[in-house]
Amino acid sequence: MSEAVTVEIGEYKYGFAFPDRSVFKTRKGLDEEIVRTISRMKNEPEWMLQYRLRGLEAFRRKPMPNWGADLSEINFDEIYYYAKPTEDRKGRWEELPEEIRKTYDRIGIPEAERKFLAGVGAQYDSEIVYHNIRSDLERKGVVFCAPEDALRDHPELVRKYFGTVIPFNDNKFAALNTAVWSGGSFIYVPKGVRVEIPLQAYFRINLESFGQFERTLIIADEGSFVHYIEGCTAPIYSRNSLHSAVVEILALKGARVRYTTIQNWSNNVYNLVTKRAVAYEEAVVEWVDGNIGSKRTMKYPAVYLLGQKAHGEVLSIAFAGKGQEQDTGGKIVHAASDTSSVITSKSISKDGGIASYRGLIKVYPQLTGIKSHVVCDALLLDPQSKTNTYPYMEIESEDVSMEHEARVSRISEEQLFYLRSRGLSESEASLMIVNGFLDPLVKQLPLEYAVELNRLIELEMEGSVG
Amino acid sequence: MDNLRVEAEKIFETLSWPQQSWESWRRTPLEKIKLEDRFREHPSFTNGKGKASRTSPLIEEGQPRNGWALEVHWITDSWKCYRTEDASRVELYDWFIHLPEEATPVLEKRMQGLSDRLQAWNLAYPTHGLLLKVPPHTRLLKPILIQLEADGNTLLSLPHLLILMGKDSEAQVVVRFDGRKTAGIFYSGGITYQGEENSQGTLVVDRLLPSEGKFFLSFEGYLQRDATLNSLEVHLGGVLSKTTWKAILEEAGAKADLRGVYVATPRSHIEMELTQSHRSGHTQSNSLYKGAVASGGKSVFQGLIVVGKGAAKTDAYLANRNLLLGSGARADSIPRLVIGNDDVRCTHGSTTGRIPEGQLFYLRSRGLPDREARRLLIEGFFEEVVSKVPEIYRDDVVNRITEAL
Repeated sequence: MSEAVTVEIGEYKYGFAFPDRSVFKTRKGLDEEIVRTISRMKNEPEWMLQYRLRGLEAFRRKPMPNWGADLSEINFDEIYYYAKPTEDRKGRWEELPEEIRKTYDRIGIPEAERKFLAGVGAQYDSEIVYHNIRSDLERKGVVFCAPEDALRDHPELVRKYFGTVIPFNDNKFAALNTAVWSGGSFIYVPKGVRVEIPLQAYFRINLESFGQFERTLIIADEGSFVHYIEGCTAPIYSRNSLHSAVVEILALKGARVRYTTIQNWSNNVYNLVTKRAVAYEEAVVEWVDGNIGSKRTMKYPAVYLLGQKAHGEVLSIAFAGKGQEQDTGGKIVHAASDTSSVITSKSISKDGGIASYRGLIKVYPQLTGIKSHVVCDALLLDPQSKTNTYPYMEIESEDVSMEHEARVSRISEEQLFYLRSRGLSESEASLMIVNGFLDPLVKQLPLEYAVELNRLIELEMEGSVG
Repeated sequence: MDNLRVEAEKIFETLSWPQQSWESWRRTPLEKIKLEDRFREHPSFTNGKGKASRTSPLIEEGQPRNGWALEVHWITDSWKCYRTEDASRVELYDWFIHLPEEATPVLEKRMQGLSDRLQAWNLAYPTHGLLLKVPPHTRLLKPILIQLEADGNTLLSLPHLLILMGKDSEAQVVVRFDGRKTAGIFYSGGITYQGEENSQGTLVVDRLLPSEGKFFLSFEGYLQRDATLNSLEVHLGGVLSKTTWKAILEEAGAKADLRGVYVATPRSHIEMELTQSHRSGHTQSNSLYKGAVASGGKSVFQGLIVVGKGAAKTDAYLANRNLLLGSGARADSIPRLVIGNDDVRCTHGSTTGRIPEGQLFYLRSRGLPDREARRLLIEGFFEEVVSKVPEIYRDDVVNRITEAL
């Protein structure tokens, strides 16, 4: 009754690559000279270079994690850590090199650019190539630019917050990022300003054996609101690529930040990301995290609730197909009273893929009024697939209401029968059920992402029958 | 028994003592235990390595107290048994005197995949070895008590109890480790259980510790076709207590109902590691571990449901409920799932919180003083796990829970 047919990689809509046109590229491997070169090319102040070097030293010192997805095939010496695609920033869309524009045409930026978006910092091989901020945001004092530009134009802001949420020695991959970071986004929203339009950026890996080390820093000042969307695609290569980003978010008193990601790296990318937010008094941070692609993903968006009445949420979707391992989840640390958190995780495994949820809820002592709710649901689409759940709850206060539940199941025979008896084919019915399973999370995504996600799921499900 | 001991010894030599960095031991205050020193003090209770020095047999003493079918007591240097007519067919063996052939395959199964040095230590240098065998088609209406009482002198206790339930048999067994007479006693115990086809077993394990007494126990149960096991671990107080409880559902129709009761008093550290391992399809396991943690106490519950590749139609449920009784109480809960088959129903839940204000108010508004109301609510909380204890032993447990609080 069940025939699993693997999705052909050739049909993958984003499976294309352009010949490498990078203007400047460091040699393979990583050493102090390369770090200095990167810093020099960006004209950075001395303190940033020193910080990078400390990151390099920590990277060398720290061991690989002895838990999580299988990372044994990463060869750090075979990776190019920096490439600069064009001479300087392009101010308008039409001025971009044709090739790069074609890439973005293909993945749909023009539609997005047209109406609702404030500005797009589009990344091509480690640099923000194209950048466009809408004037009203500028007027409000919102800063949305490349971190390199922020370093130059707002050094006091960067210096104050850079590395405060994720320090250079936090873990091996954060250390790597600290040493060779390039590109990403810097956002500052002044007090009381609400950015109604989601800010977006796209990333590309377009060089074989190339690593992506974007660094994003978002500072939402008191009472502000911003929604940032990160979505990535990458072409398919024969050698493995490494994506090791760092995202730091500071939500000051009363601020709200939502960070949405739809990750769809091709199936040779190692996606090892450190994402962390701190929420001060009455602040809210929401991570919406969709992991569809990559060979291995290890990502646990975290919220540290440092001020009273703060709220943290992680909504996570993971899809693990053939040869994939999605090791994702969320971390919430309650360090203040009257804080609350919700983690919702939905995962689907198919064709031998492995989806694991790894999460932590930690409550410090002497706190009151803590509420936390964790739900992890997993759907297995065939007998070869696997799912694991590793939820950690460390509760050190008594005035806590902590609930956790998890369910593992497959597409129910009854539901399938019901839909088929209404005329749907088995694959149509399966797709509908899977979409229903993911619905609570997809509802949280902006329209174009919801559409893209639905299309991606459809592609993954194609040919797979119950 | 000597062959098995020697084999266990070999395994023991290859393993190292647990490190703080190991996942299973991350939350255990290892610095309080100093296992290597313990081992050096008492490498074996036998004279050097080799033959056992104990030769006293199991002494049949007559009738047990009202309510038990069979009582087996170890005090000082011998086993004393008290049995009723009902329990006449139950077989008991002291390993140091004679270990029947049928025990060997089960203990070998136990040794396969031994990765914990404490467990290997227990099998290589046991201080007590007892085999309890309930023959096929034997059904006991009243429960069995096995009690190991400390003698006030020996600091190290490494007992191993092997329970074999024959085809179609039925029995309830209460195992009690009473270490109160020996201050600073250190237990590293083991229990192995094999339930053959259609057997029904109930197992309650309880321990009474002196202040500074330390308790380690590892349980492994193998359930064959249509066998059922109901178990309950009781942990009330104790400076350090760490147990590993593993139910392995080997064949279709096997069912395990695993429960736990714990009260972490101030200064207590209670750890329980529970594994529900589904090796075959059409198996069922249900677990419920409930505990209360007082100010200054700490509990760690690590659960794991493992479903093997071929175990379709598994039905597994795991629940952990923690009641926090004061600020400074700490409960860690880590219920995990490792699922390798899609045709399963596996869920788990964990809640941690304190006595709900609403319920407390309700009772107080009916005239009950605060203390009384709390006590009632906590008793109600534990009711559903304690109900599994054989009636004759239940009051004892309930009283001790109340005392501990």
